[in-house]
Amino acid sequence: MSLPAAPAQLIDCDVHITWRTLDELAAHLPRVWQSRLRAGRGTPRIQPAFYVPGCGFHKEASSATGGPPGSDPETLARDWLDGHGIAYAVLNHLDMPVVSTWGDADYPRDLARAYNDWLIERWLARDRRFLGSMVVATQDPAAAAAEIERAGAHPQVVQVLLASGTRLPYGAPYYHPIYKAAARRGLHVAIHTGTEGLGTSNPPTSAGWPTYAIEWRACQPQNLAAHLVSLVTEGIFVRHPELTLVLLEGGAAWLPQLLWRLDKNFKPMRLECPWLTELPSAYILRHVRFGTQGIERPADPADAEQLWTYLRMMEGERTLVYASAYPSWDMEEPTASAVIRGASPEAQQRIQAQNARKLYHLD
Amino acid sequence: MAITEVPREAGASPQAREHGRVRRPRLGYPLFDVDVHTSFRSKQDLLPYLPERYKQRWQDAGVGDSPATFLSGAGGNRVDAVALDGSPAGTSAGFVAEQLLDPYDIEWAVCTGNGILGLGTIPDADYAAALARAHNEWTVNHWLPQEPRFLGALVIAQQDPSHAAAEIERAGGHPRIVEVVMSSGNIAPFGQRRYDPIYAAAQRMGLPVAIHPGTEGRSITTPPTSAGYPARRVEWHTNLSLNYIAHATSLICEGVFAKFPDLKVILLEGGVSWVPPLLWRLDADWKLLRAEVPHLTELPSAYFRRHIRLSSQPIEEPEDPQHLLDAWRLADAEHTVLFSSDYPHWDFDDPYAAFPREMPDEWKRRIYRENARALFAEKLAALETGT
Repeated sequence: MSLPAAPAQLIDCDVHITWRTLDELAAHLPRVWQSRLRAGRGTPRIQPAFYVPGCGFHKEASSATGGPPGSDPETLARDWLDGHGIAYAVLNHLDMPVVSTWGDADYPRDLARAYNDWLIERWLARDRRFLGSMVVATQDPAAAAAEIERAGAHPQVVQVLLASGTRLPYGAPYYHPIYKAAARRGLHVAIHTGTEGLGTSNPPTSAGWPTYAIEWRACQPQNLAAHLVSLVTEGIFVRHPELTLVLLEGGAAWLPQLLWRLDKNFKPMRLECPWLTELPSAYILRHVRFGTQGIERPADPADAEQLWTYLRMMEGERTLVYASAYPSWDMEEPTASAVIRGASPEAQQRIQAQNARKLYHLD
Repeated sequence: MAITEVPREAGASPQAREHGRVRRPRLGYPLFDVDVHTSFRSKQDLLPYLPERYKQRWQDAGVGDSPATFLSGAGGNRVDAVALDGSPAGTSAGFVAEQLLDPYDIEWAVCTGNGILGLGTIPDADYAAALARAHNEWTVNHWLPQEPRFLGALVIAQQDPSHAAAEIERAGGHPRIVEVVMSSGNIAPFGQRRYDPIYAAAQRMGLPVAIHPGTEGRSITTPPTSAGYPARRVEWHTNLSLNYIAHATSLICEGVFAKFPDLKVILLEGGVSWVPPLLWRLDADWKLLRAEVPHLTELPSAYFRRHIRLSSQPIEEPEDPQHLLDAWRLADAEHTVLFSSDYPHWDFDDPYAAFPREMPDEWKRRIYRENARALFAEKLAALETGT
């Protein structure tokens, strides 16, 4: 283990932003939805079924303007970007993808559109270091594709952020218009955990609804794994060779076992997906990136080497990108990340900057 | 029935001895196979054990409406497992001995059924329970007496846990019934307290509880993944290990092992290498969230290591075998993994070919033999001393 040097060109692939008040979002929303936005259940906010005490914002994160942390572009740029030498930060809204788990299609579509306009106007236009994850409502894939055409044209919009909770795995043909549009715009697709089991989505585990938050959190990776298996076997990365899937806050060390099982199964069952001309693992290692924040790790820092035993099996020096989750309670500063601290100096440089630079075509 | 004619020579069925094929096990010790899929030859075989009102239903409808959702075109069994007399795969005790037990030095084989576990997905719990009981009666009366190396797994219908518990109490005392088995496709995570009667009965009878995959997504069960229904078998089969993560997490976090300290659970065909990352996550979150699970007085990993065992098949196959050894070392596979062949299924593991050559001999000895013997020690002791 070695202490990472502070690289001048750090790239943070997961910074959480929000509005100071709903007024900011309302300004971009048609009049017909104004009352619904403020009606509690119409507010795009994750209200998880499980209670996790103490989650919320990190105690050192603040907003000078009185809004919640992550709601003021100048404060965020000063405190986080300037303070840590971050060259670029990908901005994600934790709650917005939840609109895809609602039964209605029209209101979520317009909310997503309003969000994207707000993202561009309030954030991307103010600082070139901000990169944006736009959102879509997946209830209407054709409308989602049209929105990607529209909002995805902004040069600082780099990816489409999808909810982890769904009715169908993301490889399903139902979603294909979304990937086609994203690929045409040169965008990637990201999935952030947190919406499993919400709204119209499936139970949060394949075995059904668990009882406790500890179970829900332990099973979040299996949701990403199921999406990943679906996307690769469906041939999304064959159709769209430039498309990358970015998986955020769902761990990573679960991947090696999945790769082995998938490759093994592919050999006798490849007639089911004849469009794959390489082993599934080859597509996955080329087309999937994992954020470093929240990656599962041994409790004892002395066992950090065990984590890299797993990360090496998934070419972690190439497949991991630094993600802080600032300003969440469990955010990880670049020099405090156990994943990065356990990496070789060369791998540290890649994970902190080079991998994301290549992914998002920066400079 | 007589159960004392157990051969003391390893790898020697009466048939083998008759034909002079007794030989020394190739590793110097015989193996224990915890997952062999044997079965009745036709539905007729269960009829004598079924109540009158279910006989027609069993013949017409079997275990359910959608057994083949994710079956591949190639079928589920090795094509060479059909016996010379035409018996379907796994239905001729003599041929199982000849094709599996003798050539692979298998001293004991747990028979977990074939095509019967789907009863755990039948909406009608009474019918499912009648099928389970009939299968258990057939196992004890017809199947086990044919081959002294066979051990039996008690099939239960988890739809009605108290009924299932009664079946465990009824049939679990048989000397060669060594475990309870149920399908991993289910309506809820297995740690939930509605299943406590099953675990209480299993603990009382000294039987481990095994769960076996294959029914995920069928009938009354939840979708096979939390993302929804996959499209094809290659996905479905890959994702089976994910379902085991959910069940293992539930069993630990609900406190099943705190409530039933002598209970052991066997996760069949679910893989191994997912264990270390899951336990890192659970242990870390236990520190954060233990207020919601005050019944856990130890780290989740401690419960896992003490109470959960994993079968080896289908063995994980990284391109670099060293990766398997590294992952299995962190999973403490030496103490938690049990060899299984999955005979006669298409993805059968040959114990002498499937494992990495580089695996230490001491690991192999535990995985091939000692871990299972420790798990079933009580019943084995009675069988092997002939008491």
